[in-house]
Amino acid sequence: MTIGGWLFMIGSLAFVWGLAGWCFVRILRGPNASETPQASNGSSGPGAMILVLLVGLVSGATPASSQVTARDSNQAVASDQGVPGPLQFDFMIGEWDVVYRSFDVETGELKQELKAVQKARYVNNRSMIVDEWASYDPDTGDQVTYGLTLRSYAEETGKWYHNYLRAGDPTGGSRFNGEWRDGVMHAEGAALIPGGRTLRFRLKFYEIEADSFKWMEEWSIDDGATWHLAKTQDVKRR
Amino acid sequence: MSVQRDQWTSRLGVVLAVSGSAVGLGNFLRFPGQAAANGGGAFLIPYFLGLILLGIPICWAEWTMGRYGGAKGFHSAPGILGVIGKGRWARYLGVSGTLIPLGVSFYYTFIAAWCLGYFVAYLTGSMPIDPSQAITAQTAASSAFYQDFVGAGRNGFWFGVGPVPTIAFWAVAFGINVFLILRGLSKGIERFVTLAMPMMAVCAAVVLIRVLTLGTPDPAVPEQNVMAGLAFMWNPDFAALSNPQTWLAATGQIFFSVSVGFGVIINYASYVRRDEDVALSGLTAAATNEVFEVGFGGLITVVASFVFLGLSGTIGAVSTGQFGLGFQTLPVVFAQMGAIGPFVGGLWFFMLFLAALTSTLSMYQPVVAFFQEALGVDRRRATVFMVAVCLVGSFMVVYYTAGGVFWNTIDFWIGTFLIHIVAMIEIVCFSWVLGIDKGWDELHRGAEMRVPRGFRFIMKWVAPTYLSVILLAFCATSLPASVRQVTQQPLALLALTLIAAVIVLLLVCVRIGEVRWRRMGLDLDGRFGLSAEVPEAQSLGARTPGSSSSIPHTPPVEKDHP
Repeated sequence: MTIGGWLFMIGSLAFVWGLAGWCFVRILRGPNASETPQASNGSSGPGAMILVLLVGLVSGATPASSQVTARDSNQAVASDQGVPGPLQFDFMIGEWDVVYRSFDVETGELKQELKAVQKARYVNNRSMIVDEWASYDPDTGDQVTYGLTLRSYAEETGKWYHNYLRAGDPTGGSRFNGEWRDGVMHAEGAALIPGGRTLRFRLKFYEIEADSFKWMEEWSIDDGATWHLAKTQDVKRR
Repeated sequence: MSVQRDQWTSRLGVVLAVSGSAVGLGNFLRFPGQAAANGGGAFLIPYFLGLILLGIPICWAEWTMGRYGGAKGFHSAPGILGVIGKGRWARYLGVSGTLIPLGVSFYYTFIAAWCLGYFVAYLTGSMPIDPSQAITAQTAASSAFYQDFVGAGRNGFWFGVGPVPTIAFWAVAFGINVFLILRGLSKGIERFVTLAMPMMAVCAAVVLIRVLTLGTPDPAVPEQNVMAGLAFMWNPDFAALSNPQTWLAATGQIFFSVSVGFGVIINYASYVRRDEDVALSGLTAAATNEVFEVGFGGLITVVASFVFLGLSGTIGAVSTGQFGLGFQTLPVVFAQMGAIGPFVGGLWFFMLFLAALTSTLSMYQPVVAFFQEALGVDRRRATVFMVAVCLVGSFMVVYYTAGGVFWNTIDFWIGTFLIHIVAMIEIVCFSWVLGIDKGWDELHRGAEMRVPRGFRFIMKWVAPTYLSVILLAFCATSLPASVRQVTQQPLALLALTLIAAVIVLLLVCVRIGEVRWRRMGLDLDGRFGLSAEVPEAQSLGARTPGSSSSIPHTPPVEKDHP
């Protein structure tokens, strides 16, 4: 082989291996290697380890194996949230058939069951969601309730803020806020009720699938010491 | 709209997925052949120039546009390009970004099946090459096996009286793809590539070590040794640089190798979080591809061939193209390695099978994402739809095998010509429609490396110009013959008819999606910035978290307080 051949071969190999080694070391040491708990449960464990060893061998670097598998807890939580904040309510976009149930919070007995239709869409470049909700009398089919909820995500707090107004509501509607945790959308709020007491309520969207999700709301009148199931919804895509 | 909530669970995952998409048979078979035939080491000059001026810049543009479109809720090329291109024209042109992976998958799964079949043949000891025979006889046996295996002799071979079981390999390859696609982005594709890519590296390393330690296997022919093989591959012939064909071949190689213009990166990047780095990730994916191509491909195939087949045999092998080199010549080479030959051969084709799988997965994923997005169905239904379309296309590829005309036609028009067009659309959308200033800022959002400022100029001026020249040269050199082929060969015309039908199907889907996206209030024409840039959205953060109203909460129905 000529000197030129050696030069081209060694130069080319050094370039590609050096570049890849430099990149991988930076990625594996970077703050966003961010493998989630799911990943550490086996999605990339052995493969990633082999890769680290290969990169380490070739580049002479020593990316500690702990950097692949370990992460600080804050980062794990952040990764676990998975879906970016503004997209967390994506699941609700569309038209849905709803079975709504309300319960007697003291006895837990079913009080009312209604069919409803929910329609959610983005407005203003996805910065807000408008969520229409209308329930119907099971016997006559007449509309019983109509309400709108506006939902918006705030980058600063990582929370969703909701405003609900029912048509004809003399109280002016209600506000509540919450966040996405572990694949469940939580929200909570509080309100004064007759007698000067505070009603705390919390609700969640859960078991979220592409074509269905569930919703439930609980109330507490003892400042969160005990919670009672107040309402549920089984929601399926139309 | 169907919800596409799946995301990459790690940065390594997305980098390996994109790398896996790029690393294919071309890295191990096409690159060394191109290099050896076009100036050896000197070939690397235009090759690396192409990487820096075309491959990496377009790669960065795709990563950036994909992430931007993903933040707007789009994951398909039509959706994303509609946003970036700010209108319908870009959205409909973006159909080509779905057509490419879909069309290429029609035949690439077929090729994956070859790799699997060869691997199994080595595993079961059924490769019909007898090393005790003369090399010419072995080559003839290998060639006959290949011709039979791929059904090159006549149409319908796989469905006739030939080695019918070979069709099972295609079914297995397709089945694995569908299974992983159904599992989803993180649980299917990401898990598979994070295992497959390192395995490929290990397999390649083992084969490489064996090849580099071959020494002079036949003392009677001392000139056939590893050093001479390396010299054949790497000694520079600078005269080749004065031949435009060398530049065209080098740029073409880098272009196909890095997987730009395929509509794959743009889809994969759309699942990257908004503030997550794409600059370093994009560079890492491209660099990984180069390791497989130059680091392994450049040292294995041609060198091994030279050691056993000598100069003339290797030149002949290179002239048969990547499939001739890979599936006809290399089995003869492995047969000369003695007892370890079947093991090395099996390892080699297993590695190629993994490489093909990581590539085919990346072709199916954008298609499924497109159907989900356009038709508003869940992943399972979108996969069923994709399978139905692919079965039609793949069936035709598997049936019309005579002379490889049918799939070669698809390869030329979709897997070669259209890629140039899509890459051009992408770089123009990025640098001129989105604007290089905004594009540059987007590229650096969350970036863990600072891209040298010179790349601004490259992305705005050099890459589009360079690409135009390549495209024109490509059209001048390759189009006339391909057009002639279409007019003269019914199978080529049939392949184009299939492509036209798929285009119509995709356009209809885009139209359906367009109506849906507009009704949903999505910013499908890219008229707004992202939410973080919208003042109204920011002002909402001023509200104190946890603030409560004095009004009873009643969502979503009338209040009935305890």
